[in-house]
Amino acid sequence: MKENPKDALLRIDMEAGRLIKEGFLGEDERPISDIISADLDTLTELEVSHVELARAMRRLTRRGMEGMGEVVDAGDYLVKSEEYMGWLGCPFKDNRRAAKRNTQAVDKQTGREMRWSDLSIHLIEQHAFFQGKGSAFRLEPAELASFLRLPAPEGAAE
Amino acid sequence: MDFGVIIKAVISLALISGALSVIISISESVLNNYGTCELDINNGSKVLSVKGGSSLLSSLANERIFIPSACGGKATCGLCKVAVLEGAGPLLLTEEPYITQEERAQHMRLSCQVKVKTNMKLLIPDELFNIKEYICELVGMDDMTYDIKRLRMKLPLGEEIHFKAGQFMQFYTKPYGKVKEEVFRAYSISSKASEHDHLELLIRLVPEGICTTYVHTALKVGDKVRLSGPYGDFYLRGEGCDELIMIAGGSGLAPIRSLVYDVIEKGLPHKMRFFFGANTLRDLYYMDEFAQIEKDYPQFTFIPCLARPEPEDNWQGQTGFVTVALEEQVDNAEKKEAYLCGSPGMLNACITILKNKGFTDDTIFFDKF
Repeated sequence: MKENPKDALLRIDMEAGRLIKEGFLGEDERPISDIISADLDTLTELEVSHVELARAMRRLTRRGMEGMGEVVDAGDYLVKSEEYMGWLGCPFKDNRRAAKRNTQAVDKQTGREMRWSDLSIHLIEQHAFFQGKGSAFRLEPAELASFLRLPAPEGAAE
Repeated sequence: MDFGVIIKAVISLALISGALSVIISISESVLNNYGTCELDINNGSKVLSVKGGSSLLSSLANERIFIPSACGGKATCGLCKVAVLEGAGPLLLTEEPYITQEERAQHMRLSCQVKVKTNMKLLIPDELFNIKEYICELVGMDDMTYDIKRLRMKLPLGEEIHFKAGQFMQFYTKPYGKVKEEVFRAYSISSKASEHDHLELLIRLVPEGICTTYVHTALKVGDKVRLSGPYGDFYLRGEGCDELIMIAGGSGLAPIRSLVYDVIEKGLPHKMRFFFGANTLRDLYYMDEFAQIEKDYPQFTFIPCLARPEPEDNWQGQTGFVTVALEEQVDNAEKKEAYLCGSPGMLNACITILKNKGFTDDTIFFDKF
C-alpha cells in the first residue's frame, strides 16, 4: 500500500541516525500505518490491548528504578533499569519526552529475557507502535504479551 | 537484440531523466522562491535580510543567532520557541502540541517549523545574542572512567568564550556510520568559567546514543569540533544563602566542578558540600582533585557515595545511594541552595528529599535537558 504523506514524513524521522542511532524501523519497509494495523490485529486475536501491555511494562520499569541500576526482585521477574542523563522526543511529535532509560527483565520461571526503553513504553501505549521488524527495540506483540502473562487468566488478581 | 539498439535506449532514458530533473529543479526554484525577506527583531533593534524558503531556526542560525534546540529542528523537543508577531501564518499541526494557550496569545511559534516566506517581526530575548558558534580543535580526550571521556577543546586563536559556571554547550557531530546528517546534543561545561580560550566537556557513553557513540568511537584528537553556546539558566544564585548543597551522578559532575571553582576563584564565602553518587569505585573520578580542593579550601566538603562497593574496592567512605547521605547529612533548608545534575531518577529522588527538608522550587536548581 502507498504511504500517506503524513506517514512518509514520519518515516523520515524514524530512519536510522535521525532521532536515534539505529532508527525505529529496522528493515521493515511496510507503511507505518500497516505496521501498526498488523500488530493491533495480533493483539485483537490475543484479546489484550497495547495499553495493558504498556502499563505492565511501566510497572516493571518502576520496580527496576527502585534498584537505581541494581537488579530488583519483582515477583515473577528480575528487573534492572539503567538510566542516563537527557531524554528522547517522540517521533510522533506529541510533545512527550521519555527519559533515556532502558529496562531489562528476566522471567524467573523460564529465564526468558526482554528489554525495552521508556520511549518504547510510550510508543506502545500512545501510538500502538511496536517498531519495525529488525529494529533494535522491536517488541513482537505476541511474545511481549506472553512474557508479561497477558491477558491474565480469568479470576487472576491484577 | 541488437547491441546498438540497447545502447540507444539507455542513452534515451538517461536524456529523458536528465531533462525531467532539470524541469523539476527549475520549477522548484520558481515555486519555492520567496526572494529576500526581512526579519525585524525586537522592534527594529536588529533587521536582517535573509533568503526565504528555510526554517526560521536555520535562517537565524545562518545569521549567527542561535535559538536553543535539543532535537535539531525535528519538532520533537519544543525548545526553539520564538515570539513571531507578524509573518508566520497560522499555527501548524506539528506545532500545536508544543504551544500552550498562553503561548499562543504571546504569538510563540516553533522556529524549526515556521518557514520564512515573507517579512517577519520577531521578539528574541537579549541573552540569546550572547550565544555564538565556535569551531574548536580537540586538543585532549581522556578516559575519566570506563564510560566517561573528558574532551578538551581549544577555541580559535583570538576568540574567547564568556559563560556562567553551570551553563552548557551544544555539541555538533559530523555524519558517521548510519548517521547521515549532523546532530547535536547539550553537554554541561566542566572547565573553569575564568578560562576563556578552552572548554572542557564530560561525555558519558549512552548505549545506542547518537552523539555519545560518535564521541566515543569516531572522534579523534586534532579533529575540528563545532560547538554553540553558552546556554541555560543553571548557574550560581547564592544571594542571601550561606551554603550550597551540590549533588551529582556520573557525568553530572561537569557543571558542579565548574561551579566549585567559580565560588573559590571569586572568593565567595559560601560553604559547599558536594555529594557525588556512583555505583562502585570504578565509577568515581576527579577524586584526587576534589580531595585537594577540600584540603586547600575548608569551605568545601566532598562526599563521594558508593551504592554498592565491591569487596576489592576497600571502600571506607559513605556507602549507599546518594539519597541516603543527603537524608542523613542535610538537616534543613535554612540559608541553603541546592544544585543538582544527573539522571532523571536521581534528580527526582533527591528533589523529593530536599523538599521534605524545606527546600523550595526557588532554592533547587537543575538542568532540564
